[in-house]
Amino acid sequence: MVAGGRRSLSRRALLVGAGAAALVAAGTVPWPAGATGAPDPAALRARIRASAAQPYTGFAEASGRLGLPDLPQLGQAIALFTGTTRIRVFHAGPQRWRVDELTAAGERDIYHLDGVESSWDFGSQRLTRIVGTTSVRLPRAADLLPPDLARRILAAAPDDPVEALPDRRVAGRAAAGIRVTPADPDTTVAHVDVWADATSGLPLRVEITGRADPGRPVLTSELTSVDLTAPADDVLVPTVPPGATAAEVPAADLAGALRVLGPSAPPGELAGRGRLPRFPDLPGIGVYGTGLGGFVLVPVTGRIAAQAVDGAAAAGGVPVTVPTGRAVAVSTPLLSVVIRAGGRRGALLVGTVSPAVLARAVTELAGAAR
Amino acid sequence: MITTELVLMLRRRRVWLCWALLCLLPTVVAVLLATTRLAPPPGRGGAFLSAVLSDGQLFPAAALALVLPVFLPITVAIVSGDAIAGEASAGTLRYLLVRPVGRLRLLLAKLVSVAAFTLLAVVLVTVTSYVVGVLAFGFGPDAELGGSGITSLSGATLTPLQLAGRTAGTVGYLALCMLTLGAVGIFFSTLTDSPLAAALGVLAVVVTSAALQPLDAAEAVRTFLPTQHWLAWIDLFRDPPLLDAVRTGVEVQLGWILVAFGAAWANFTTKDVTS
Amino acid sequence: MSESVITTSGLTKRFGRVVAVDHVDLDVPTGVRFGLLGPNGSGKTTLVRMLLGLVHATSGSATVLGEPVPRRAAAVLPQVGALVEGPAAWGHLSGRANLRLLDAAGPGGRRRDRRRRVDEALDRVGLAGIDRRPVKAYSLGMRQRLGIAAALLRAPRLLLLDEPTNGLDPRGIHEMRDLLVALNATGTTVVLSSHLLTEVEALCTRVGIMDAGRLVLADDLASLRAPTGRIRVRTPAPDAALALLDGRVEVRDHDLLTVRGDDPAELNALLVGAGVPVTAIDRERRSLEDVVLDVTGSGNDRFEGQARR
Repeated sequence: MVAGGRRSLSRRALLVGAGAAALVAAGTVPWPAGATGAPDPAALRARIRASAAQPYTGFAEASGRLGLPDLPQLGQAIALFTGTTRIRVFHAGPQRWRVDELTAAGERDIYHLDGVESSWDFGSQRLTRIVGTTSVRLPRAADLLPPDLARRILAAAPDDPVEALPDRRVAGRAAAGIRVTPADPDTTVAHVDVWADATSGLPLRVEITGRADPGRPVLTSELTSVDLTAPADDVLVPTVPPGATAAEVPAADLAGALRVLGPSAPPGELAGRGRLPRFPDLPGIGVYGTGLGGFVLVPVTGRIAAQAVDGAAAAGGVPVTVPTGRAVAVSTPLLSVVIRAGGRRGALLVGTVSPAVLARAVTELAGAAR
Repeated sequence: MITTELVLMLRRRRVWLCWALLCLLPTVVAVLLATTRLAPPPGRGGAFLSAVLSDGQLFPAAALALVLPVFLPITVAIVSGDAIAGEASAGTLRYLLVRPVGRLRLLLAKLVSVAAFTLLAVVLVTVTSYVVGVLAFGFGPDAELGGSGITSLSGATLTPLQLAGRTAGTVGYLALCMLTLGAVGIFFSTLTDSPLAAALGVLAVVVTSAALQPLDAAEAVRTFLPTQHWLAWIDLFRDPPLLDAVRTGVEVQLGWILVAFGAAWANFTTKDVTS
Repeated sequence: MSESVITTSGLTKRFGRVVAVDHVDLDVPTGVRFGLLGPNGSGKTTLVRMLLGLVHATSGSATVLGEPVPRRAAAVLPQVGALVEGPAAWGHLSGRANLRLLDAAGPGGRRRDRRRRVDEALDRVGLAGIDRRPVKAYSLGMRQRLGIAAALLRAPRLLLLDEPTNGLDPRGIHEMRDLLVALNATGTTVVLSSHLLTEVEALCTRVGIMDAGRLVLADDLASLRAPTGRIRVRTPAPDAALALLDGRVEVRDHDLLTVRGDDPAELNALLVGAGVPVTAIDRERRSLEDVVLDVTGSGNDRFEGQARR
């Protein structure tokens, strides 16, 4: 052992450094995807759209960076698009599933059993059974699951062009990818990428990229682990634990609430886009545009509209000049929002189109209201 | 050598003081909660703290969540920072080495004793907080019906056996997380002759990791941060238990232990002992 | 087994730019009591640490008990007892507990003999009656004794002691010296380092002198202190003696004369025969101090000469 001190020290240090690098690499470098034998993009799209019956259990993480302003009473829904959501899913079929939104100190679960929905909230120790159905509701964690998100998007854009993406490994499975690029020049969506299990067509990962920042997706959702077998029956049935309360609430009566507002019928066309025949039971609500460039018109009370206009203006919204009343536009990387206040009624326009389109629509609305 | 190390650790007053302090914090919280009955609102405050009032058997989980962010890391930093540096500054290191105790063997013995310390610390907190919790809050609403299960985060009731199993899993997982800090502490302890400097180094790692965690810019390294997975044990209290995050956490912690211990070995085996 | 318990060749240790030990070629024969002398900072402790495998040499090699260190340190060290730079112990434990743990920490020895080994070691250093007080309550002398007991624990073939009498009172120093001589008589080679001349002079049979990292001299004490060829005479009549020995007297210091010559008996007869009274007469020997001053002086010169090179 002569004159070896320094040299062997650096040799050992090198060994440890190499080991550390190997461990980090094992944790970051993706596994080779493996051959998927994927069908052509159009066939894969069809397979994905038909995958709703595929049972699976798994764990997903969705993270969005939409940068939506805080709106009153919408905190939970907005958090879905501005942060990371951990979701666990037990899916036996379209009418038998359970989705848990996991938080650091509890969870919010939704059980869907043959048309009956129940929700469990650990924080308030309450199991709520929701009676009746509603055609419109706020976004919830279940909507962010890659299968639901992908099928919803592909259903909305059945005719937009698709191309194949390189295979990648998702949740330990070889997944085939397709990219949908909306043809609509005014949409905020640059493209939507979906990777799905090639044989079952179950979407495993969804990335939505906005035109504002084509380099990085604004919304990513991925099943980090998945098992394509049906969940056990007992996990799908909610139980009321001792000490917790059980309640029944009717589904939100949006139609009634809207009727109280007495909104005028939405115009047949706004900003050059025709109204789709959806939600005929909800007066005043209009869905415009096809594909991934569309928007929704929601009537609100004048008071709420005024509050929202003030709030949005304070949060950096851009004023829009309208013939009557006031309006503010808020744009995020994916969603654009325009709120108009003035008189007894206001209007909220939300959509994946550029703010200019919404501004045109609100101007037309204000003109019609005069 | 391992026996020697364990005897040395168990006969240090500092070690017992650390354990006593760790058990004291949850006890104080339990007493305050029991006297005021003011639980933090759901979703706020420490995990499980709002549910404790209705069932004292959940208190061990709440107590672990209480001591995890600050108290446990501090005690582990103190004990592991002392590992080599303490022997060096007391002068006993040179006598152990000429006894002779192989240097790798000495490091391994230190790692085992730090592991024993962390495991005992977590076990002691669990046991005392279970006793304190049951004394302060009772067995929960269905105790008179003969059932004494507790509610999991998912709403399903856990049998006492399930509860014991999941608590054991939590204890093991947290001890492993803390052993990561212990291994880092042993590495720092080979770099300096000052136990305090080594302990502060460990705390610096914890603070840096906790500061990077919420940063979007640190997204690429987030998985590798030692503190990132500390709360994964909460998933064990869901039903059915969710193991994904715990598994990732165990892998990352084992990686850290391996690298930190390897670095300690690389540095210590060729180091000139001049203390 | 080789003749020497310790041999080093060209052993060098640099700490950064400081050369702590500089090309030391040391040889300690079996069975001697070797004293390593040198001022503080001369490299004694670093040399001892290298022999024990605590510090790794920059260049050169060392063997202890016939085996190279630090490569075969694990085989060598069980037969070596050491005290390095003062004793050290776990302060919160008693002396007995310290020795028991130290004994348990390393290889060799049966567990059931542990109590006996510890008691014997404590007994040898005069600590047989220690109580359960923790070591941090011990006096400096007690700690020193405990440190030596720890070195003796394994009945070593070689004792490497760095400043072993530090903190001991005169009685303790005397006891320690007797102990080391007794151990040496039963075959243990003793190597001690010290900056105290008297200690080394009183105990050792062979001396090495270190200065600024170099071993400047290593020789048997007996040959270092060989007669110088002069005789020292003390007489109440120095003038008469001076007159009688004219030319042979080299130094006169009051009533003490230094005279050239090898045979004190002959000189005594000469002086007494001439009626000069003699109160004391003896061969002059160099003191260790003279030797040290002599060699460390020239050592400094050589060091400078080398630095310029």
